[in-house]
Amino acid sequence: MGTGIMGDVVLRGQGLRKSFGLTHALEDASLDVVSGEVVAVMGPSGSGKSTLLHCMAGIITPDAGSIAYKDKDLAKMADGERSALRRTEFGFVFQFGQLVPELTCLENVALPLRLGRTARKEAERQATRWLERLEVADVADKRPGEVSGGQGQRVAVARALVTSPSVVFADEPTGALDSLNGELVMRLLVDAAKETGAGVVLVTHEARVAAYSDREVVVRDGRTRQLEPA
Amino acid sequence: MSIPHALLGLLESGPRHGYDLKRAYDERFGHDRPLHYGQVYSTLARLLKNGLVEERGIEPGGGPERKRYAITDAGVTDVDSWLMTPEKPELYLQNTLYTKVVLALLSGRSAADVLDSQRAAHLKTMRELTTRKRNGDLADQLICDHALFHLEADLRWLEVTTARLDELRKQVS
Amino acid sequence: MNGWLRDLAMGLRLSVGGSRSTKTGIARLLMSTVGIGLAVFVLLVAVAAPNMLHARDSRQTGMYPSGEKVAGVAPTKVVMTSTYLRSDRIQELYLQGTGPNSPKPPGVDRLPAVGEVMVSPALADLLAGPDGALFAPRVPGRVVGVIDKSGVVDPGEFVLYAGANLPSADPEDGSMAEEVYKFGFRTTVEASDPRLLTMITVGVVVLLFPVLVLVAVSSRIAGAERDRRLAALRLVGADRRQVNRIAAAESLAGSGTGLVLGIGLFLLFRATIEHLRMIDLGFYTEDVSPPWLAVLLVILAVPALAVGTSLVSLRRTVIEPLGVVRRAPKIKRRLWWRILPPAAGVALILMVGDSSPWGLAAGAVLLLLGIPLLLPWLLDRGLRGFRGGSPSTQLAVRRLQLDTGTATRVVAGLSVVLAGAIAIQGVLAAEAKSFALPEGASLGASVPDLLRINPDEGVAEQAVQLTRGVSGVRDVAITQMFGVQGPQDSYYSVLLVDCADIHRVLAVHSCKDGDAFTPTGGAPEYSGQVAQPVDGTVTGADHEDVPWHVPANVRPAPRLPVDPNDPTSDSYVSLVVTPGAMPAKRPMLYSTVTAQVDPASPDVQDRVRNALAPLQWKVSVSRVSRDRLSDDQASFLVVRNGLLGGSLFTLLLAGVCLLVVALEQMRERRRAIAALSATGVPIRTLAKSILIQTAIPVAAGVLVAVVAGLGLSALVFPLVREPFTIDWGAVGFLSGAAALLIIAVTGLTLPSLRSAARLEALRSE
Ligand SMILES: Nc1ncnc2c1ncn2[C@@H]1O[C@H](COP(=O)(O)OP(=O)(O)OP(=O)(O)O)[C@@H](O)[C@H]1O
Ligand SMILES: [Mg+2]
Repeated sequence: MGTGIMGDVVLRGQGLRKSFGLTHALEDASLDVVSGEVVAVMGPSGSGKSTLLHCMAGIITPDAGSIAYKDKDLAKMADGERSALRRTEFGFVFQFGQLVPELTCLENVALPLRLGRTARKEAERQATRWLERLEVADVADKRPGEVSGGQGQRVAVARALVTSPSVVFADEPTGALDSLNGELVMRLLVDAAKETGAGVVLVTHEARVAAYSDREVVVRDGRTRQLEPA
Repeated sequence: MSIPHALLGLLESGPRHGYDLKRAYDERFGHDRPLHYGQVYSTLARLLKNGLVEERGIEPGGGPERKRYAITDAGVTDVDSWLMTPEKPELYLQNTLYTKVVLALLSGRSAADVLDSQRAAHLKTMRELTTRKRNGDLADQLICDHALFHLEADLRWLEVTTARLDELRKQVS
Repeated sequence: MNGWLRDLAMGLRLSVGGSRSTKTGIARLLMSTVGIGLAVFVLLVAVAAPNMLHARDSRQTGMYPSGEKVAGVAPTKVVMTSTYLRSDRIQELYLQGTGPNSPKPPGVDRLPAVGEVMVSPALADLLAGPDGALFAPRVPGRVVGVIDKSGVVDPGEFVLYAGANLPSADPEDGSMAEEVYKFGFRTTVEASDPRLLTMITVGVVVLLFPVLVLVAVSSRIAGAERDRRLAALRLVGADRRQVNRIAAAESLAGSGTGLVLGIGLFLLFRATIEHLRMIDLGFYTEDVSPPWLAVLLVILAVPALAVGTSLVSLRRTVIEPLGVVRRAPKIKRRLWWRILPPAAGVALILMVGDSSPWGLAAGAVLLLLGIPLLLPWLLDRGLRGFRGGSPSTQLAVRRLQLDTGTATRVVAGLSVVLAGAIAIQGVLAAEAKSFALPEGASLGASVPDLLRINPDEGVAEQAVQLTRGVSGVRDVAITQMFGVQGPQDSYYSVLLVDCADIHRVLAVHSCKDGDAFTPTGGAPEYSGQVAQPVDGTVTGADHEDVPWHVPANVRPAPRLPVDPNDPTSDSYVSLVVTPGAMPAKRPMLYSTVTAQVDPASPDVQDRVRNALAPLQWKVSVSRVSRDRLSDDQASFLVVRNGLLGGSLFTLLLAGVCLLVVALEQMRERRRAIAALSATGVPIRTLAKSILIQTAIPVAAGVLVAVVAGLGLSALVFPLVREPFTIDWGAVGFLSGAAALLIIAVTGLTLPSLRSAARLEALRSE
């Protein structure tokens, strides 16, 4: 699509395999994440999209293959190291239910910064900026249970971006929203990611949501396939 | 799209000159295809003949472009019934694509590749429409959305067909 | 009506099989069953208690001998003594009828003849058992019968009636026998000791409160899951009233099984009560017969309470077809009405506490009930506006701000228990001082190394001889004293000692027969109280009074420091004389035989008693020990340990409740926890937040409990004229236990936290 600056590959997964018991969730999957670029991961249900995302994000370790992030292989890292990496370098948006129900939206967004030992005042100042950026500043003092699904997802996007991560992982971020709200969330997510130069891995099965990406990867039966327009 | 009805509808807000009418039409509906003058005047002539519009005061200078047209009661009734009559849902078979897939299967080529390249092309168009939508005004957005939803439906068909290629192969061979 | 029944049946079915897994369903049912079962049991015992005490009382008064003359009745001569077998006390009654209608003690249909013995069932068992041989030599005759229940106050009590030839009973001459015209009399009930009453009332409240909390909490177990289930019912068309009925039926199921458990426990308690012994009280099974009306009330009230709390908790959540939607906006807790009960309690204690024991008790109860009212407000107040802290603190505090309800209720129950325990502990600590409980006293049995034998006049020498013959006895000494009646009702004691033995008592260089000494110095607590010896009268061995002149050559002599082995050390001896200084006519001498025994020699005490058995009632044996606790001290320790144990038990109960609450919250937050952990939040942070979340209410509860408990004892102490003491040991012990509890609860939630933090929870349901 060409807007924004597309840079280098920040995260490269190659030859990933992962089995759960007898289920081969990933057979041979590869994925490059380029900074400033949105890559859509599509494919039928159960094809291994979420598993791929979890592997790339270091939430689970693959049985085989490598995931290179800044000269390091995530697949070989200890759990604590991966946790720290996720906390500082990655951002996450899931389909629903990721906000801590008893914290206000503002506190939810400030939480990753606070975990990184930013002072409360400063963390909340930055969080407020992000809430404004995602057009949900008015729900800052409400709890997640008191806001609509679309507002909640935008708060989640703000939380994912507040640490200026180099990669944002989004697993069906619009899955629980109607198309209007879904596209609003996508627009805000893509714009914000472009602005900060973050690479985005976007798992979705909606073509219209995927249309916000710069590139598409299809997963079928645990194998990835890059599509080039004819 | 019924051009006569569109023109009739535009006239409901008040009498207009022919060129006025064309401009109004182009502004609202003519994004992809502006009307020719000839088309406007031949349509208006037909409407006149059917008594759905009438001429109002010819301004000095003569010539058809000087005439002002106004909608008649019969015209209003006609717009009414047109608006309220649902369009026949179009059964739009993916004729060409289906043919391509079947031919690929029969000739032993990769039908999946056929579908995938189509899918890539579709998504490429969708990306372009999305970009246009994001930079355009509301009218742009609605029109692009319309196209996007259609393309999305096509894409679903591509997905489903990809998933059922094996079945299809058995049936055609 | 039909629909009603259907709803109830549905609720009953859901209560067991309704949960997502039968395991949680059964756990839920089990918790409420145990909670309600305990409540029913405690309440039934409380309801039965008055009758139990009354039955025991009337048995006890039925045994009281009355010396009041009754016309036409030939009195029964009675000597009451007691002996010990190891540490068990055996009550002995020597009886001799003086005529055909002489009264007989309760439990037997005739008086035992000389040489006949009747024993209580427990004593009969003992004689038949392995220890029988050790006691047999002391049975003064042939066992001819068993004493009926009406003659044995406590089921396990050892009682022995023996026929004997008793001396004439003349109260004037100090004879041990008394003439009894009637056994048993009614006493008007005395107003109870306010301290005792307060302690008992506070104790009952303290016992009942956690049980009530348990009932309330047990109906909230798996509340979120229940709400979801009810929401699903709403979706398929149940209206709000039906949902209420179904919920009521669900908690009714737990109440039903709880009732069965409670009644079962009560019946078990009733059946085994004869083998239980609470402090010093024993009861027969028949004593445990609560009034039926009260039983009915308990059986109805407890399920009603359970259903009530579950309905009230339901009112706070609006169950809509699409799930449990937004809770009703949080009500602000107001202070003014919460302060009323404790304020009224304090006022009541201050105003009427010293005149009415009931006022005191009511005040104490009101004060304690103030805790569950004030604690939520305090927590609310303390947490309001809190925003800062580390992320884990923030998570914990926010969670508490959102819902202090359940956790606070649990902790409030705990708090009442601790406050009550601390208050009672305070009173007990004061008691402990008056009992002069040695440091580090424990209930371990210790062996006496000194026996004191008090023989009747005339058998002292015989007692010495008999004791000397027992193996394990090291040294037998005898001291003899007589009393002198001075002018104006003054009275003092004179100790008769041989010159050979005088060095045990006084520090004198020379002594010859006929010397007399006034002890000086020595034990400071006695020296000031020793009366100056003056001339007076003494009672002779023949019961005739004779004049007594203080010997002319009385010398002062320093008294030796008090030796616990010295039997005279606790007597106010004013004069020490040698036999030569005695009055011409022999006075009536009170003899004390002291036997030093080898503590390592087994049952030496019982063998001494057996050796003295031929003297029957004419001799009594008591134990003197440097480190053995007196009976009072022992029962004090039993009460204290019981109290601590009870507090620990309720602490544990509260812990279980807190754990349930924490696990419940964990389940509700599974997705959020999984998402946080995916985001890279360490489990440590989450665990810390659970620790803080548990610690804050418990710490607040303990703090309030300490303040309220100490406050209560500070209010009560002046009324019972005890110096105010704080049992810091108990306070520290209970606080430490609470801290352990917090750690344990957190530790137990960790596995569940770990599983929630795993990826599975991220995958949609
Ligand atoms: N933790 C797990 N335990 C067992 N099987 C798993 C686990 N995670 C994934 N799988 C299996 O691996 C396969 C791929 O799952 P995955 O969640 O990656 O699919 P997906 O492409 O994200 O599907 P969807 O579009 O439905 O979300 C599935 O067959 C799934 O059942
Ligand atoms: Mg998935």
